[in-house]
Amino acid sequence: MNWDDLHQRLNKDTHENVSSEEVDSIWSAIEPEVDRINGRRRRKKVGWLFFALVGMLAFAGGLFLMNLNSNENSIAYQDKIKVSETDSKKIPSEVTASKDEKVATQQTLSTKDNRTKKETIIYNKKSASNEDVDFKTTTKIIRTNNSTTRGIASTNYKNINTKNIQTPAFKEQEVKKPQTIIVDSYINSNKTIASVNRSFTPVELLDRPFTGAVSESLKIDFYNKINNDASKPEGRLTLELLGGISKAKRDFRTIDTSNQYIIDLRNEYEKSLVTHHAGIRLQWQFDNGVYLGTGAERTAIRELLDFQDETPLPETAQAIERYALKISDNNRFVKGKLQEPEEPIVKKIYNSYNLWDVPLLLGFRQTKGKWSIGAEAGTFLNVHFRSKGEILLSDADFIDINTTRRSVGFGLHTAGFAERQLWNNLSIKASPFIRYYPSSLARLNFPIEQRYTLFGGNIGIIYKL
Amino acid sequence: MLSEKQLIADCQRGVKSSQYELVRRYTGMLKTVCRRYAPDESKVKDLVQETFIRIFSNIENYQPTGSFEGWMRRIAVRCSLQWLAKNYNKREAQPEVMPEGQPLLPKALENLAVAEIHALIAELPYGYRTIFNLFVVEGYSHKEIGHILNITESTSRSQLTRAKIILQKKLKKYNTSKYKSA
Repeated sequence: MNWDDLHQRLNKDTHENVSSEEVDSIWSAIEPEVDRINGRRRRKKVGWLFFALVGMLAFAGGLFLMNLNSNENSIAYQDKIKVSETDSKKIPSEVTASKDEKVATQQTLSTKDNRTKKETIIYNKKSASNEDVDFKTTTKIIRTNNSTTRGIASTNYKNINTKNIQTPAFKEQEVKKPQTIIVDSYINSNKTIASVNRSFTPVELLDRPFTGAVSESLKIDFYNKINNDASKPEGRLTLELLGGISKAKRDFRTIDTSNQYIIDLRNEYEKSLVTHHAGIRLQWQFDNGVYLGTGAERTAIRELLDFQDETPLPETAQAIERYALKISDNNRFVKGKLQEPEEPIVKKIYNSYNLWDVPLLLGFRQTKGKWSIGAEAGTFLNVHFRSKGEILLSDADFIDINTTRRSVGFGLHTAGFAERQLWNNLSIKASPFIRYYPSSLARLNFPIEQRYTLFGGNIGIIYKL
Repeated sequence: MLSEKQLIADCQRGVKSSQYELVRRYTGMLKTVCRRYAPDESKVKDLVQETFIRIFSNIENYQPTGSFEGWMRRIAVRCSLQWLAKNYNKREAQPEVMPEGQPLLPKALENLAVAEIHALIAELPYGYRTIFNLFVVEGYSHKEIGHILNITESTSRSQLTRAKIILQKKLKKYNTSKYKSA
């Protein structure tokens, strides 16, 4: 037998017999600790469950809030459709028509939710005469329970159930003139968003036969009405609260070239800090996506003058230091300077240029579902300007820039933006922009002009009034 | 009777009856492991308790890729070694090159019961005994032993050789006395 055999033999039976009393003794000794471990494990599980629940609730809440508006519109619309289909039975038939009279019945129903749902049905002629009708090949004929009723519908549109829609009758004596009955309407905030109309037009009054092209134009008109009204049920005036930051690029200009030295020094010692923006804007949105905007915005351009240098104390020369080159007993003076004590100059000043502007903006907004993108451009009329701090006047002198001017003119502004609708009337916005102030923000008549271009971005919220 | 797999799953969920069942099943095995390192029976019990607490604390992390008993044994060994490290001063022996793998007295060893062999191993000085148990009984390599005990590989090797020599002498002496008494 060798050591390996001993290893096998010693590990062959490692279970020694223990009495139940001994097991109970060990268990009772460790039971409190085991309970503590189990409790910790349970608390850990409950904690994870709690966080998971909170996360799920937050996620569900976010989804709910983000889709609140579209769901409301969608549900309201669907309810209305149901009402429309059932209530149509109740339409009082004040007029009675003979079946063989030729009439054109047109019914258009269209609406829009976040997925732009549109439905259109066009009925034509209760009689079987098709001579006046020019159906396109892409349209299909709908037959209702009334076999005398025919319709065409674009294949791109969902057909509504027409079984319950009764054909309105009209008085024989009124057949000669067109008439319209409102079957149902979709009302939101006391404003009609969409309506289901039935129009009766005597054939002899039609200037041209119904065609697919005619129905298409009707659909688009109705769709645009709903698109504009449904997405902005409360009006077209919007209020924006914006805040943002930008990077100010400073451009020095001077007529006197001797000032270039100062410009170099200022570029070296004056650093541009983050510019802050805050503003409020009102916008008036037109049907075609164009809008006009105005409001008020505060822009705070900030810079840091961090100057460190030494300057000799005046009239304190202690010696003259000379350097000479000696060649074959000829000393040639090379360079010399006064030995003067120097004092350190340390300046650390935060300069600020505060502007209050009134923006006059023209923009265009394209909306698709809950998202909008667009661009705007215009001027920022400066109505108040105030600067504070010090700048370099020479290599060791400073000048105060504290000044309050009525205006520094105007700024040119252009921006793009993306918006996301959160609730019915509330959206958020992100907008990168560029703004240029062509007037100098330096003191009046200061020899070095300084103009600013701002590259930045705003974020904000938009409330539809 | 619960299968080992079910027992582990229950213990991972914190089922107390299964935890007691685990203690009941494996106390004997863990006592055997701890006894190799503990100086007396009371300390064996302490180490077994400490081992169970560590098992229940870490059983959530147990992956059924290897033997469950092996996993518990490793915990028991580490538990025992940590106790040893706290309670005994380390003694670093000078590396000695000594022949190893010498055969034991075959007849003598075969005549001994496992308990008698363990009793003889327990008589070894604690340093030799620890390395002997780790190497011969638990199957650790000298490199692993050096890492566990924070000693060099050569120290582990030389102490094992000394342990083997001492154990051979003890076996010879034990057999002689046993033969005489018989």
